[in-house]
Amino acid sequence: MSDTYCYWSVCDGPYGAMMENCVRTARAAGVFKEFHVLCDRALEGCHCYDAFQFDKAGGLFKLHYLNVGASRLPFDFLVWVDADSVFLRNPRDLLGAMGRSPLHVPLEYDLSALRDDRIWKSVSCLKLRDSFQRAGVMNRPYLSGSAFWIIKREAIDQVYNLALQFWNGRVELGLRLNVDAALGYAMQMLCGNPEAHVIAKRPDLWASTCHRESGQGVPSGSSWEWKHPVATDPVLVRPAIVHVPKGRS
Amino acid sequence: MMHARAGPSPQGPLPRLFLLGMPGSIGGAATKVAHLLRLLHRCFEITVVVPDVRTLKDSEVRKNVEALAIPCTLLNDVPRKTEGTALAICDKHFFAGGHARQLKERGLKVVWSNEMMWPFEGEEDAARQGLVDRVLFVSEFQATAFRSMYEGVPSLITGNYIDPDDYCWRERRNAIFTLGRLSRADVDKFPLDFPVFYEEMGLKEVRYRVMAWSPALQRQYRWHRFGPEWELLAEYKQSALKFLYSLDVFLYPLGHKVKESWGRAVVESMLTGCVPVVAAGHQFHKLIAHGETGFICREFGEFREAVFELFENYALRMKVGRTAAQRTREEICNPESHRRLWVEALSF
Repeated sequence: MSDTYCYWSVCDGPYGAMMENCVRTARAAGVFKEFHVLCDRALEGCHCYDAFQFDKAGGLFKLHYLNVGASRLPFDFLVWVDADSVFLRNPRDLLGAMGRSPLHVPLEYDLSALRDDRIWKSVSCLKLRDSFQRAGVMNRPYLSGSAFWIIKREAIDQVYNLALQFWNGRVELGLRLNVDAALGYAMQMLCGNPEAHVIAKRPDLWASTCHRESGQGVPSGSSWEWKHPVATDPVLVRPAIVHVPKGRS
Repeated sequence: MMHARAGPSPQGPLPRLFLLGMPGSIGGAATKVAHLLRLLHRCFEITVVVPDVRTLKDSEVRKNVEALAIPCTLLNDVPRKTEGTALAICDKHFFAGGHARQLKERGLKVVWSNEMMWPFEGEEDAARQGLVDRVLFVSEFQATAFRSMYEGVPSLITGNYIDPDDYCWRERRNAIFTLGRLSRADVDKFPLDFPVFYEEMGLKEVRYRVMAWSPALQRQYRWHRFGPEWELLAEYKQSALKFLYSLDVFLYPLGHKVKESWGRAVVESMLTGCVPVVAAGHQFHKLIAHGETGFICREFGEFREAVFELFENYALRMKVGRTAAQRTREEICNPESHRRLWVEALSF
């Protein structure tokens, strides 16, 4: 029997409408997988669950809800999408992005080559690189986001504990990180071969427009250049799923 | 007491050595004791001290001591007043069980070799109380970890003696290329991505063999589906030698929390001609000449490159395996060098 998966997310307030839009674009693209969403009101096209109040600081709610909510969903794999995402096509071989890894987080920028410090989401890249290495990342450390990731359900507690351990450890050292770094750490400790998970290896699957100029809009479906803001070299992508952060639609 | 001792040597009586342990062929500590008996039985009048009556009758123990006419005794039967040296190796009861104190009170010099990177129960107190007359380390790396605890205590780096005759070189070329590793079933010794790491090597036809495996490891990797290409053996399921003979390449990534004190399994592998591909950041650079007797790798890509090369190029695999076996036998496991070192370590 082939592995099963669903999409899932957590949305409240204005993110509810964004999620409904996301699901509409998915259906229009021929995606008929289920969307399971923790939310504060009924959302069209979604299986809904009460989200209650949650603290959004640092984005750690994604991990907490993974652990207490999504873990109960009866699917082999769970695909997180941020509410402000759109589907341009039905993703082909989505689970192929996993390889042998229990977690796939698209890896966006190789920090090993960084010479001068850059600040990304209020965090020093050099300090983050150092943190990754001190915490046991043996390969080249990468920056990554948390707008799209795939996890094997059986690995949820392992990923949750690893990510939180890393986050708590950095807090003790006075470094305030967000969910991107915590999830990125778990990813790089579990994936075996990080090079297999970089954006360039699956340009057809997912990318974010947060690095594009405001006003450029949602890519229409043809290839476009994606580049991490701290990087210099672009990658040509044509993803099926696009993360379009608020203000860039 | 099991056997009459051998008579005095032509040079006069040999210094006495009470060696605590259970010589055998399964497990690192037992093997080390067995090999030391062979190495030193002509330099010391050795008595093996075993923990209990059952061990006195153990067939493995009897086989090892009878072959060298070495007597065996219980701790309580060590003479109340005697001279000589007592040696304990990696024995978790040595301090906590009061054995070190007992032997000291009987007049013996106490020599202790920890083998690990962390102290045993009671070891710190024993060091402070002066129970240890000499501490032995397997590497500078290990010695550094224990420096403050043993400040003021004479020490020596003895490395590890492995009798090369117990691990002879053998040509191997499995019909299905076999990657594997040998270690204690300690979850910390395995990287968090262990099965993924192996499978991401990307070899199409391959077998993986691991010893030792345990329920704790099975829990750690519960998210992974181990297919029929995996063989996960419990501790002591096979002898180390038989296991190593079954491998084409010894692939040894390590957990991020662990620092290997020396690398016994790696040396055993090299002696048998099984090419080691190991992680950087430990002491392996003192054992392996990269590219000549094995491969030391920093990141996944380097591991994969080495494994692929060994997979595709049998001549290279043979050459590195033979060189590893020869150099390890002649240099790392040279009996004469080790004998001199151990005589120095156990003489006062």
